Amino acid sequence: MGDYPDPDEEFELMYGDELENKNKLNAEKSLNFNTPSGKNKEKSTSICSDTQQLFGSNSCTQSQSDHDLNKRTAPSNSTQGTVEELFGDITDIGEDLVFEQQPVAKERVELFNSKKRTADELFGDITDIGNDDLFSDIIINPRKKKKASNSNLENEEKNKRDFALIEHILQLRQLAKDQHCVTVSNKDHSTINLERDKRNLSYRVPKYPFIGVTRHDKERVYIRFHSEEYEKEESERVIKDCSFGGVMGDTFKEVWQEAQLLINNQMDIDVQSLEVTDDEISVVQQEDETTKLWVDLYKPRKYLELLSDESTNRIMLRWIKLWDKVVFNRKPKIKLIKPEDPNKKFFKFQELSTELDEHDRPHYKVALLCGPPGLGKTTLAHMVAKHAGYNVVEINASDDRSPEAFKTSLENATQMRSVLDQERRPNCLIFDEIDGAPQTSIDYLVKFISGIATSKSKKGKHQKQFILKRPIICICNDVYVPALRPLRQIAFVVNFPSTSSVRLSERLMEIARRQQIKTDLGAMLALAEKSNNDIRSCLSVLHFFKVQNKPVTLFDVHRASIGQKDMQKGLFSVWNDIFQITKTKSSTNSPKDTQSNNLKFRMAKILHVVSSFGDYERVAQGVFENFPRLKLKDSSLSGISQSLEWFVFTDLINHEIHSLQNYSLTGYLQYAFVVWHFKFATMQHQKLNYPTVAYEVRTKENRRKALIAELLRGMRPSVRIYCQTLSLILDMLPFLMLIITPPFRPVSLHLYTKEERANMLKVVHIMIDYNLNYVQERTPEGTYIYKLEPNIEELLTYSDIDGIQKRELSYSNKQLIAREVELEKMRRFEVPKQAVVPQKAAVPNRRNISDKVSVLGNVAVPGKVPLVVPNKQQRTAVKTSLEPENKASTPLPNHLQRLEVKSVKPSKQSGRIHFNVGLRLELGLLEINGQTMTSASNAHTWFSVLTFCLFKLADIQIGKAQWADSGEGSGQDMFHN
Amino acid sequence: MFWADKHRPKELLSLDYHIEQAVDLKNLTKDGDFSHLLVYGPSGAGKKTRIMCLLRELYGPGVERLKMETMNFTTPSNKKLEITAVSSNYHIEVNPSDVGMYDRIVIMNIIKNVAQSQQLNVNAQREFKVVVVTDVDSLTRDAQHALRRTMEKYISNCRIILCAKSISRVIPAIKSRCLCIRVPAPTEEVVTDILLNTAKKEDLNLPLELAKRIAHATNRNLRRALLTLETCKVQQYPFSENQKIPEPDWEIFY
Repeated sequence: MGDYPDPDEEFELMYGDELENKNKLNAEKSLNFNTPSGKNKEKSTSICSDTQQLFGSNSCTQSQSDHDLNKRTAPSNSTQGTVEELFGDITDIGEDLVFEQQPVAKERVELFNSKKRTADELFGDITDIGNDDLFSDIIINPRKKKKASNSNLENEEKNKRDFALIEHILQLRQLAKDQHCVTVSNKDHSTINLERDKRNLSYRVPKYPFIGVTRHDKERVYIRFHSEEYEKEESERVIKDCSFGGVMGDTFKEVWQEAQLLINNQMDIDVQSLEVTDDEISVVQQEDETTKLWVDLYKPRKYLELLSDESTNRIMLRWIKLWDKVVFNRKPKIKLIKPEDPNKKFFKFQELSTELDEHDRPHYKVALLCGPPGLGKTTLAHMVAKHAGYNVVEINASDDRSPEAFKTSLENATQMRSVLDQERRPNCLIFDEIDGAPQTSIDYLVKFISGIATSKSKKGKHQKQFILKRPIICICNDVYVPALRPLRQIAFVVNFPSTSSVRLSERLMEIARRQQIKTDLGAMLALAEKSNNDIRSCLSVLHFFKVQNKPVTLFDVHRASIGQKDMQKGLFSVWNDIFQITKTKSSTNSPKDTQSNNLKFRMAKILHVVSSFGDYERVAQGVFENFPRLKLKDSSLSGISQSLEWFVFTDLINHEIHSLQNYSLTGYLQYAFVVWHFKFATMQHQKLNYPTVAYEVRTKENRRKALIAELLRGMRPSVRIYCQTLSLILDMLPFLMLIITPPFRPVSLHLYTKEERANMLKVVHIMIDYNLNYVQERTPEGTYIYKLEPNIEELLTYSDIDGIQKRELSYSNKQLIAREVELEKMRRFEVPKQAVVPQKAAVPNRRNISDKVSVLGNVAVPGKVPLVVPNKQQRTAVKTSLEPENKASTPLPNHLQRLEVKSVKPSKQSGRIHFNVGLRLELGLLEINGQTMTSASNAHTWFSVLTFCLFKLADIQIGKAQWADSGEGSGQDMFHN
Repeated sequence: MFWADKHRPKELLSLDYHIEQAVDLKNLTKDGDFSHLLVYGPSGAGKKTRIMCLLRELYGPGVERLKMETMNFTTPSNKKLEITAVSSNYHIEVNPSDVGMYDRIVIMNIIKNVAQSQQLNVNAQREFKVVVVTDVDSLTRDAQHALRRTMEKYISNCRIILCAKSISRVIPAIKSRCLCIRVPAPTEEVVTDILLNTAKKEDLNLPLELAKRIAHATNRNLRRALLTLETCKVQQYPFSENQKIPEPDWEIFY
C-alpha cells in the first residue's frame, strides 16, 4: 500500500477513524458515570492530553479548559470536573463558546493570581502549553488541584460573585454538554484506549500499514490502517465488553442504534447524493435518447423484433446457418428441404440449396440482399449475423471502396479475426450499398469468392490457395446495376419484399406510445402507406411530430410534405403518370375531396413527379411523340392545339435556356406537363413508346451534313465558289439529279447517237464537277447495284411523296457512266502533266477496272486471255481517247468486229506475255494491262478505229459493258500484230 | 458544267441586268481601292457573280485560277476544326458557318493570316488581298463582333467582302463599316430574256411561253431558272410550250 491511497480508500479510512473515535467516545460516555473516581480523573486527563495531541486542539482552548478544570475542581465534585476536562478535551466544541468563556476565564485568572499562590503556580505551568512538560504537569496538576480546590472553595465562599459567575459558566457548560453528548471516559477503557492509541498511532513511520496525517501544527502522525474486518471485530468486541446500562438513561444498544441510525442517515444522504448523480446520468441518458435518432433507438434488438418479411428473414438465417459447418465445425441443424410438391415451388421465389461443397461451404458463398431503401435490409443482415454468432464487419459507402482498400478489408475480414474480441467470434462481412462500389472492386470480390484462380494469379505460388470460409452478405438497392452483373450470377439473391403496412403501423403505434405521442392506428397506417412502408422515413416523420409536440392525426399525416421520398422514377412511369389519371384511393383521401381538390392534387402530383425526374426535355419529347397515338375524345382538337402551344412554349424556353444559359427559366418548364396531363390523361392504361424520332432525326441530319461536306470537298473550285450549302441543297441538287439522269437507252455507248453521246459526256462532266460517281454495291439479296457516291439521292428524295415517278438509270447505264467518269477524271488529271507519268495515273484505273471485272466479267472473260503489254515506248504512245472513238464509232458496222475477234487469237498464241501480266494471270485474276487511256488530244485516229472495233468485240464477248477494258487489251494485241 | 455556270458572265460589263450597279462597281475599282463591301440579296440574284466579276476587274483573270485549301484550327477547348476555303492568289473565300459555333476562330485566324502577310510585288498587284466571307447572316454574334475589330485593324492589307442573303441579322456595327450593295433578284422579264439567250447560245429552240413559265415558276431565282431549263431540256427536247416544269422534290413535299 502506498503513501497516497486512492480517494475511496482514503475516505473509508478517514471514515473508519471517525467511527473509531465515535466508538471510543461512546464507550467513554457509557462508562463515565458508572465508576467515577480520582484515579479515573487522572487517566482521563491523560487521555485528554493524548487526544489533544492527536487532534491538535488549539492551545488557547487547551489552556482555557485546563484552567476551567482547575477552577471547576475547586467548587464541584470530581466527576463534574472530569466531565469538564473531557469537555475541554473534545476540541470539537464550538469556538464561540470557548471564546465566550475567555474573558470570564481571564477574570478568574486575575482573581486567582491576586489571591492564590497555587493558582499562580498552576497558571504559570499552564501557560507553558505546547511544551512536553505539560503532559507531566497536567498529570501532576490534579493532585495539586485537590488541595488548591479546597483552598479555592474557601475563597469562593468569600467571593460569591465569582461563584455565581462560575455557576453561570457551568450552566453554559452543561448546555454545551447536553448539546454534544459529551461523555466521560471510563478509567479502564481509557487505558485500553490509550494502549490502543499507542498501538495505532505513531509519530514515527510505523511498521504496520498506516495513513499519514499531518496535524494542524505540521506534526506528522501515522495512523494504523486496519482492515475492515478488524474494525468490525473491534467494534463488536467493544460492544460485547460494554454490556452495561445506557448513557443518560439510554441503553447502550439504543445509543448504538441511534448512532447506527445516524450513520445510516449519513450513508443514506451519500447514497442519495450518489443517486442524484445517478439520476443525472440517467437524465443525460434520457437526453441522449432524445438526441438519438429513433431509427437507432427503436432498432430491433432481437431476431423476433424484426419487422421485415418473415420468409426473407428465415431464408437469410438459414443461409447463414449453412456456414456453421465450415466456420464453427458443427453440423447445421437445418433439415434438408424435401422436394416439395411442384405447386408450391411456384410461389417460392428462391430456393436455397442446402448442399455443401467439398469445403463444406454452402453452394452460394455470398448473399445479395436487394430492395428499396428503408425496409431494414442492413438491420436484417446485422441481426442475422449476430444471431448466428458472428462478429459483424461492415463496409459501406462511407468507407473507401477503391479496389485496393476493398481488397485489404476483404482479406482482413475473412482471413483474420479480432484479437480484442473476448469471445473470438468469427467475422461476417457485410458490404452495404454495394451497388455504388466501383466495378473493379466488385470484380475483385467476385474473383475472391470464386476463389482459386485469383489467389494463384495474384499472389504467386508461394501462397497457399485461399478458400473463402466466412459468409459475405452484400446489400444493394438496385440489383440490376451493370457492375453487379457478375456478382449476381454467383450470389444468393434475396429480394426484399416491402414490409406489410399493418405490421409497420403497429410498430409505429408502439413507438408512439413509448414516446407519448397521441395518435391512432389510422394515422400510422396512412403514414406507412405514404412512405411506401419505409420504416426509416416513418420514424423520422414521427420524430418530427414528437418535436412539434402535438397529437398526430390523419390530417397531419396527409398534409405533411415530409416523409415523401424523392424517388427516382423511371421515364415510363413518369410518362404514365402524365397520361393516366390514377384513381385516388378513397381510404387515404379525406372525404371532402371535391373535384377542384382532385385537380389540385393531380397538378401537385404531376409537378412533383416531373420535377423529381428532372430531365424535362426527354419527358417532353416522350409526351410529344406519344400523344398523337392516344385515343383522345377531343373532336374539336382545341385541347390538342392548346397543348401544342405549350410545346411551343417549352421549346422557346428551352432554346432560351440553352442559347443564353439563362437557367432561371427552368422553373417554368414543369408547368407544361400539367397542361398536357389535363389535356391528354385518361383513366385507362396507355401504351407508350420510347421517343426515338428525335434521335433518328439527329443522326439523319448528321449523316446528311457529312454527305454535303463530302460533296463540297471534292467539287471543282470554279463550281464550288458559286454554290453555298443552302442554295446547293435547295436549288442545285434537285435539278442536278434530274440532269444527270437523262433518258439513256440501256445499250452500250457505241450504239448511242451523237446527241446521246454528247449528253452522256455532259453528264459525266457534271458529275465530275460536283464530285459524284457511281459505285458498285452489293445488296443483301446478292445483286449488285450502282449507287451515287456521295449518295445525294438521300438528300433529295422524300419517300412520302406519291405519284412521282423517279427516273432511274439502268444498271448498265450507270456502269457506263461510272466508267466514263473514271476515264474523264484521269484525262483531266493527265492534261496538265502531258502524259509524262502515265503509269501512275493508270494505277487507280487498273484497280478499279480489275474490281469490276473480277466481279462481273469473270464468266465472260475466262481469265486466260493473254494480254500483251506493249513496250514502254509503245505504251506512252498509246493514247486512246473517247471522243475520237465516239466520232469514229458510228460508221463501223458490226460485222467488222467479228473479224477482229479472229485477229485477236493469233495474238494469244504469240505468247508474248509480259511478266507482269503473267503473274496476274497466275493469280487467276483478269488483269487488264495498265495501258493508259489518256488524253484525247494526241490520239491516233486509225488506232482508235481499231480499238473501237475491238471494243465491240469485247462487248459481244462479255455481253456486258466491259468493253473498254478488254477492248483495249485486244486492241493492243492487234497493234502488236 | 451546268448552263448556269457555263454562261455565267465573267466581267462586270457583260452582266445582263443591274447594269447601272455594275458600272458603279467598275468605277469603284477604278481608284484601285475600295472599302469593305457587304453584298446582299436573295438567292439566285447574282451576288457571287458580281463579286467574282469585281475581283476579276481588280486582279485580272488570275482570280479564276482557284484552288481548294483545307485549313485546320484548334479551338481553345482543344477541338480540332477543319474548314475548306477556296482561294486564288489574290483572294480567299470562306464560309465560317460551316464550323457552326466555332466560326469566330475561323474568322479571326483567316483574316489575320491573310492580313498579316503583305503583298510583295506591289507593282503587279493591288496592295491588298480580299477575303470573301459568305453566309454572313448565319455567323454567330461572337464572330460578327470579332469581324468588326479585324475589319478596321487590317484595312491596309485586306478588304473584306461579305456576302449575305439579308442584312437583318448582321450587326449594325458591321453594316456601318461596309459599303452595302444590294443585289435584287432579276425580274421575270429579265429572267425570261436570259433563258432565251442561253437557249440561243446552246442552239436550242426555246418557246417564249415556256421561258416565261419557267421564269415564273422559279420565283426570280436565276440559277434555278437556268437549271430548270436545263432539266427541261434533258427531260424533253424539242421543247413544247406546255411541258411539265420540274420542281425540286422538297418543294413538292413542302
